[in-house]
Amino acid sequence: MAIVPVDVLSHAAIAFVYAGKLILLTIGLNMTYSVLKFSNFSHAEWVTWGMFSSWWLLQILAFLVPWDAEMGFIINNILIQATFAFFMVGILGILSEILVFGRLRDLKASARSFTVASIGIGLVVRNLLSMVFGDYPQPVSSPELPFGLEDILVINITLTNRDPILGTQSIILTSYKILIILISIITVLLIDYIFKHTKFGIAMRATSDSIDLAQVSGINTRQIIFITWFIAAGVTGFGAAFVRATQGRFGTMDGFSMLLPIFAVVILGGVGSFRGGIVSAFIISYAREISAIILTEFQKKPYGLQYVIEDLLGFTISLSPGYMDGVGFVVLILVLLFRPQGIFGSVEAIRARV
Amino acid sequence: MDKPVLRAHNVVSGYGKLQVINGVDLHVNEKELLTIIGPNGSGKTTLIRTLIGLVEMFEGQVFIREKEVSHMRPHEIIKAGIPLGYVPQLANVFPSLTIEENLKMGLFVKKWDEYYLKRIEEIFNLFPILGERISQRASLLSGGERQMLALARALMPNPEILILDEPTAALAPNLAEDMLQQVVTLKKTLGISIILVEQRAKRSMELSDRGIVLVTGRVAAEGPSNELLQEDTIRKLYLGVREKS
Ligand SMILES: Nc1ncnc2c1ncn2[C@@H]1O[C@H](COP(=O)(O)OP(=O)(O)OP(=O)(O)O)[C@@H](O)[C@H]1O
Ligand SMILES: [Mg+2]
Repeated sequence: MAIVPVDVLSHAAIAFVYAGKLILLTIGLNMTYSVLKFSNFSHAEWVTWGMFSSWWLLQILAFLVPWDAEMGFIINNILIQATFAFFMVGILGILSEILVFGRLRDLKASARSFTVASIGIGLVVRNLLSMVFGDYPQPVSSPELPFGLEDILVINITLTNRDPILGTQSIILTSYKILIILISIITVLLIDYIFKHTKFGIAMRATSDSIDLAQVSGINTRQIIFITWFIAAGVTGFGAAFVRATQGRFGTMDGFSMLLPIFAVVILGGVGSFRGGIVSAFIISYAREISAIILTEFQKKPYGLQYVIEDLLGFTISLSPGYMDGVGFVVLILVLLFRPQGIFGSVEAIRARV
Repeated sequence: MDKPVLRAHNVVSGYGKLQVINGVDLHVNEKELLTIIGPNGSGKTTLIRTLIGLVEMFEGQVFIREKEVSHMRPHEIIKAGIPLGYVPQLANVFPSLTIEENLKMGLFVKKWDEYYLKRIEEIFNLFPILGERISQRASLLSGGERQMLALARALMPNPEILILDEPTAALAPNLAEDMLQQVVTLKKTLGISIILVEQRAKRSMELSDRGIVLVTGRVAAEGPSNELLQEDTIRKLYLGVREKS
């Protein structure tokens, strides 16, 4: 056996891609968190609905209109799918504002009420999706990439193969995995720019600071809130379509299972700091992956820590790599102990509640 | 008498079913400092917020510069180009915006980059401290500096009428006096009309042209400040002046 028993490179690549997904799916949550000032738990279902609308809804729509080769080409294009998901999830965001959150705001409800309501919305959407599509993840094909990117965007490097010292070290990244990273960083920079430097972005921040003062400055705050919902939800749907494209199957729990890491990224990076989200996504993602490697080693017979403990103490503590998500949170807690506003967050943003 | 810059007739307003203002008539003349005093909870804040559309008006009419603004939402009033500046009692700046962005917010409905350059020199002359800290976030300012920023923001669009809700509330006594003097100076140098809501009733009445005493959402007394200052009941009840025995 090689001295380095793990394919470090491939794990690094996996974590890299996971970070990209987190970045992409975090932007919308960061927006709602910082502008609307509450924890939107239905964000999970934005992700799920983004996946479903980008695939199934588009398939169904295409089925309803007369089918020809042209149509198949269009709906299998990732850009079409992602744009479609942008609008579909954006509409979901606006609907939840109209049906629920707008009314709560009129009643001057607390942020806690908003959060609880968002949990409710999430449950409703998730269960509706389950009713229609069933609970089990279904295999689907990857959409096509335009411009022949599929063949260009491939990284396949084998640094060492069964080397006596390094073992096997290799990276295989297919087009969507690379694309996720690129798209996520471009989207963050774009949203960050809008937020910081455009009049619209300043209006969003002003509205989040004080609705009254924003209104007497001439801002139609109702409109700003609607647009915030639409963009935050839309970007999440857009991202979800790309995340969907990296995985062979998807189901109604996919968004929910990523919710906690997504929250961790926002909080670690600092609420309101989109660039901070990039750094924290990498931190969380690598902490997760490294712990997965270590935990896997612990489970190896006969000298893994798990068996050492078993021999010494006579009972079994499972050290499953399934605990890797927990490790991300340990990192989160450790950082927050020293910087409660997150790595890049501003102090006033922690006044965002719940 | 000059034409009033702002006048309101029979204003009835409140929150939902709660009626707070019960039929108030009010006007401010050109280049006049009107002070509104009254006990806590008498509805001073509610009244001026009604004037600019932040509180729902159940009955009545409001005109600013002869244009009816009743039932308009605040951003509509500003977008209609009505020359109005407002400094609220609480939350008077945008804490997460920089000082520069805060000042620009006063010009939101205009081409703000262009106007900003035109206005900024005058504003920095009035409030030199702001010029030194232009790229800091407003949350880092002290209470007094915030109050200045709030005032500066309200002045950015060159308003003809300025509405101030207890600008001295968060200030130490000597700073409060400075602030009141500043208000008087603004009125004189800029030639604008000001509605001032104040807890420091006696002092602000001394500095102003006319006064209104608001009690439980009604005008209990109104008139030139020097006359109000002479009236015994008002001195006793609302100005906190103890009679010498
Ligand atoms: N947003 C609101 N919703 C419901 N009631 C309110 C609201 N704001 C104020 N009130 C009520 O309206 C009444 C008048 O309040 P307002 O703030 O106008 O008084 P004020 O004269 O400005 O008092 P202060 O001198 O303390 O600032 C009070 O009884 C208050 O409880
Ligand atoms: Mg008040």
